[in-house]
Amino acid sequence: MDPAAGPYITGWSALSPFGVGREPFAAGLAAGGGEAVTDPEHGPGLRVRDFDPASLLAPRSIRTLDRMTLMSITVAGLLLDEHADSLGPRSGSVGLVLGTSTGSIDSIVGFTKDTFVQDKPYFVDPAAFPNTVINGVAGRTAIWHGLRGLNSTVSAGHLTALATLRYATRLIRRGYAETLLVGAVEELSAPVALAAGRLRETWAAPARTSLGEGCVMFLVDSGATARREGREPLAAVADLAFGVTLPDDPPWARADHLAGLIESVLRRNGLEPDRIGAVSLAQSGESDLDEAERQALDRALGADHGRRVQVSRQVGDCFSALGAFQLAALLAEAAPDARPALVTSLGADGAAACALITS
Amino acid sequence: MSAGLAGDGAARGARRVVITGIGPVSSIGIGAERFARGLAEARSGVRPITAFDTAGFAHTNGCEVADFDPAARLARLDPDSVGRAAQFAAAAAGLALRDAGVDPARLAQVPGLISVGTTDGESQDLDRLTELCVRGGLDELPPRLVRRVPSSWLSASVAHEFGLRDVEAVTLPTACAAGNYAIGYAYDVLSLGEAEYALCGGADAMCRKTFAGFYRLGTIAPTACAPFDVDRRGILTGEGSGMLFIEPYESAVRRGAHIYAEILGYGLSCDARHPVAPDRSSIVECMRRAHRNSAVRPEQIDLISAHGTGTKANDLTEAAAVREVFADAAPPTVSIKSMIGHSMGAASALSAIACAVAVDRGFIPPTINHVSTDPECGLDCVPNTARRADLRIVQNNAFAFGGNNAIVLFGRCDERTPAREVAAA
Repeated sequence: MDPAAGPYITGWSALSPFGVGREPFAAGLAAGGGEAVTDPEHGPGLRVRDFDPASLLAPRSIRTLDRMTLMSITVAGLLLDEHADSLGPRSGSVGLVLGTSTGSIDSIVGFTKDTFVQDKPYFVDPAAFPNTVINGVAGRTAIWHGLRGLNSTVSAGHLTALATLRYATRLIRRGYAETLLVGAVEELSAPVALAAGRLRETWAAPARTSLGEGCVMFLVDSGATARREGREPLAAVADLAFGVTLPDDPPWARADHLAGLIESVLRRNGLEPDRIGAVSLAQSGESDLDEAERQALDRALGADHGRRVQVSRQVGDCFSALGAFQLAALLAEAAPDARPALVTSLGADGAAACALITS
Repeated sequence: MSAGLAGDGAARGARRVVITGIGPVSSIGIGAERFARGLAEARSGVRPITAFDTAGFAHTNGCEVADFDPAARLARLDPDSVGRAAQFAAAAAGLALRDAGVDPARLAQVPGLISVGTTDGESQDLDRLTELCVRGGLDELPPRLVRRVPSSWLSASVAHEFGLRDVEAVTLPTACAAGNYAIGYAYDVLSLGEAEYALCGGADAMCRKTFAGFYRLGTIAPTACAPFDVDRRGILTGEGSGMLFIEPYESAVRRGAHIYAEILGYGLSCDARHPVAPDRSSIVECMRRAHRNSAVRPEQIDLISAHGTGTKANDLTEAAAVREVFADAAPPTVSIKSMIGHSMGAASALSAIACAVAVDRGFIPPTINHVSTDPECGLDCVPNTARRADLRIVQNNAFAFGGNNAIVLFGRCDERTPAREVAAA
């Protein structure tokens, strides 16, 4: 580890369809299956398994917290607990950079519903109001754990997790923060299932993934902090590239554009395509996007280089959390590949991103 | 970690970043000239709310952007493909680019950053989706509306409108401090040399959800917003967007651009105590971080554009924090929310634009609707009438739900006395 380099990922945890924590996620991926957890109340999709926040967070009251916030609090807690020894009293100055597309749609819709159905439009639950603001999850998570470091919320559609990592690594490089919890959260609820279902009906081909949800967080340290505190680096987010294609660009532009981003990352880091060990793809389920992502990789790396990892097959399309699951899937591998890896993402809004992950 | 947002080392030797274009879309005027005139003339953007059905609410004033015609304001972007907040952001970015005298086609040749802050994203679309759910119109739920919901559209639509492919487009939904978060982030990215320009700011659209929430909390003023007044009654919700075109100092000089102000630095803090109540010690810490990051001492600051929502709690807490940091020498501290209401994610971006205008044109925008200053606040809020002033360094405060505080500092930047040299003197 080079203390001048970094920032480094020194820990991670997850809430996934495989259960609570890192181990069930790693075991579930290794077993290869993704088992749909259907819940008639919340529509079809892959729900987080065994998530019982009341008992996980007992004895503290979770009364005014929504499910998305509880997911975030739980994962942050797992990570903070695991590293309690090395964080010590410094855990109070850890910051949080959290990715979410729009916060909890379920909370927003539930709160707004009362403005239509109650006797007066302002007969809403004041305690639930903070849950309807997009940064409510990050704010409440910081309050729960007493995280008084920097606190930010980042949103970039399917690219959210990569944009969040980019934001967080810049805060550390600027010297504003030393240790951050960095992650993304997505919640599958009845309104989301309904709305996404309507959108999926308009796709050219049937969706290739279920809807998903979950939360992944990484502990990210500056190089100096990781060394000082004795936290072992698991990986570094060595480089990222972002771009946008436009609505009137030709259909093949999406693949060309992402291929260009991948090539620029390889070039900047002096890497030939054959040095890439694995690529963790988004493959979020819309056939055109998925096809463009695969073409881009074939073009930039050649079909033979970079073992393809597709976590969305097992956790579903977790939208703003998908990128975090993509990175976690690389970290979860039992026999980690020491070679650099890529994480790629394409959004329905035309945005594209590529991250280079090194050990 | 105790260093927090110190960043002294980070700031020195890094590239200087200046504002060369401003794009305000506000209830007191759209475009640099109208907005500046509105501030100077102490105009009020208050009018009865039309964005949603206000039946059942006893008072219904707000600060809407009237006469915003998205089709006339947008060139490439299909107005129907995005929500009102994204329309605002793209239109505001266009105003900023024109004001900066920058051709988007040339911009497309260099790497850029688009960062847009927001509180609620496409809140009107979410209102509408909820209404459809309630009224049993699930089958009519238009996919077009669903597609517009992710708040990432606020930044992506700016890229679409100007044909910018080599950009990192990010939305920072850090509520009512989001504009400052977005400007601070853009400042960092340009300082680091990782982009050659940025379009940064914030946007939000008036919505039923947020109005009802503040109404229930008892923080909606019956008629007018009167920050720092002893009889202040709360906020008026507003909407709009403020987008800034910022670039490295060298590039502005090279192309002979008019420089409004330099971004000297910023500070963030999180109090992690209460989801809605402001926290004085955290605001104090945020100010001190902003000052350290900008290498500025409190006595050098000529003006504070306050968060100044006009609620009892905010104004008292903010004033106490200002007095703690500035001792007995607090500079004039004004709230443009008295004129444009609380435009949520756009608020601190429009306030940043007001700071740029104030420095550039040499006047302090007033705090209107002011009758009698709350002695407990004890600040010179420049009541009711703009004041001529020679402003070198100004401070822009923003505090948000979730305890997210962000403060940005701006300095005058004429060639003979670059702001940083003034600050170091």
